[in-house]
Amino acid sequence: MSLALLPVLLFWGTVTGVDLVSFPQGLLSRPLVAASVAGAILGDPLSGLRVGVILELFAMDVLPIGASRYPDYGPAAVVAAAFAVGGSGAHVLGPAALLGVLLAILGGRSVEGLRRLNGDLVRKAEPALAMGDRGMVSRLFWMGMTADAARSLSLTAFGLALVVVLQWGIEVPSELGHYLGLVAIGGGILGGMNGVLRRSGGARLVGVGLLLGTIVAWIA
Amino acid sequence: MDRVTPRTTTVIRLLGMQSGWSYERMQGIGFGWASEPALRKLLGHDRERYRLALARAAGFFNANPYLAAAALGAELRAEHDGLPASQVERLRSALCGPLGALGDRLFWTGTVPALSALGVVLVTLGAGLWAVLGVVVAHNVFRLYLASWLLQLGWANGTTVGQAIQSSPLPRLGSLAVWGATVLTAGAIPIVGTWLLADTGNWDLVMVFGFLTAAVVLRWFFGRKMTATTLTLIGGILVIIWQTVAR
Repeated sequence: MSLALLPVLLFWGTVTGVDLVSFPQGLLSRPLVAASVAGAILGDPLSGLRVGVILELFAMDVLPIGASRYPDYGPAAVVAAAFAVGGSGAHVLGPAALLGVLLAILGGRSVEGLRRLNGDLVRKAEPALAMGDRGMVSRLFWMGMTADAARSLSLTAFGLALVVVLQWGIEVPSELGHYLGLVAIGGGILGGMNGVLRRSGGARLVGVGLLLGTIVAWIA
Repeated sequence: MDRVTPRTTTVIRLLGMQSGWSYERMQGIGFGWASEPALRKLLGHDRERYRLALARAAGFFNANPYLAAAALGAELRAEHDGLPASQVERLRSALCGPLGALGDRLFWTGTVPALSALGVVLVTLGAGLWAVLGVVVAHNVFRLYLASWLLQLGWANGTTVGQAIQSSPLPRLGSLAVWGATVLTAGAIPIVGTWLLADTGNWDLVMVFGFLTAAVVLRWFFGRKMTATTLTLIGGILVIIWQTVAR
């Protein structure tokens, strides 16, 4: 990973994290989007796409509704793509995806911390909010956004630092990487199926989808 | 709506609906921030009314962020018409549930997984980054159009916005989106699975199948705690131990 591209990756990781939690929720945080753009930044969109597809299957199992707890796949996918692109050979895809899953869980925890921080700020501002203080509403909005940006930036920076350490310090044996890849793919399929069954529009539609998918896979 | 409020500004500000999210007010701060320019334009001549309206707007609110524009439009209309504070607050809280349920159905279980599945399928079929771009553009064009339309619908119908939404195409669209998402996400699994496992041998396929079987059994024993991510990390740790011992 070139040091010159580090600020761009950090920026992109921050954008994807903020997209999920605060602004603009425009699907930039979807792993497929986050990882493929990261791959393109690093000059290898295909590796980004491959790791993005695996993580996207995991993300299909996530319903980011209201106060529910959910993983943050945006910065995680950026870091996973950086690991996949920087590694030597296809066998790093699995370890990259697993690193992404781990960071997504960590990212989810950081979202909870952000919510508590916002709560502290709101409690302190209660008197001004009750008076309809326009400046306070605006301040709380921007403080929430800034804290989220700091959270996403820290998460991306931590992940990329981990990538640098792992790439310099540890050579992933190809056999280990291969088997980890199988686990990641299996986990992705499991996540995707969980998502399908959770939001099922009926067993018949699931059957139709699986049948159509099998036919397309067979032809393609 | 154009007559009374900077509609574009409000729609753009609605993109930040979840900023400042807290367990105390949930989306209240984002809602207040999005309402502020319109409230200022509507009630700016009466400072006291404006401040009280803004205080209400920044209070507790929780609905699907993509559909919050309807509540915002209705609340602006209620404030503009000078409805009593208790009625504005009742309107606000009455809209949270239905907008949350409909929006979650339309977006989180409908269009978002449908686009996500379509994206991964197109990538596996060779569309590359264009597929990714298409997914992002399609989602954002749809949600921005919807926000603008819902803001207008809320403003036009005020306290009866709930019925207006009920008789609009949105509930039907929600059902269609879930059906589409079910077919597309289910269809994506074999396509993506085949793509990812294209270069693997029979023994590898047996391993993946074994992992999936073990995952189903573990989930049956331990319930929903055993998420796909947990099971994957357990699988990864076991592979690392196995490979370390084997070496």
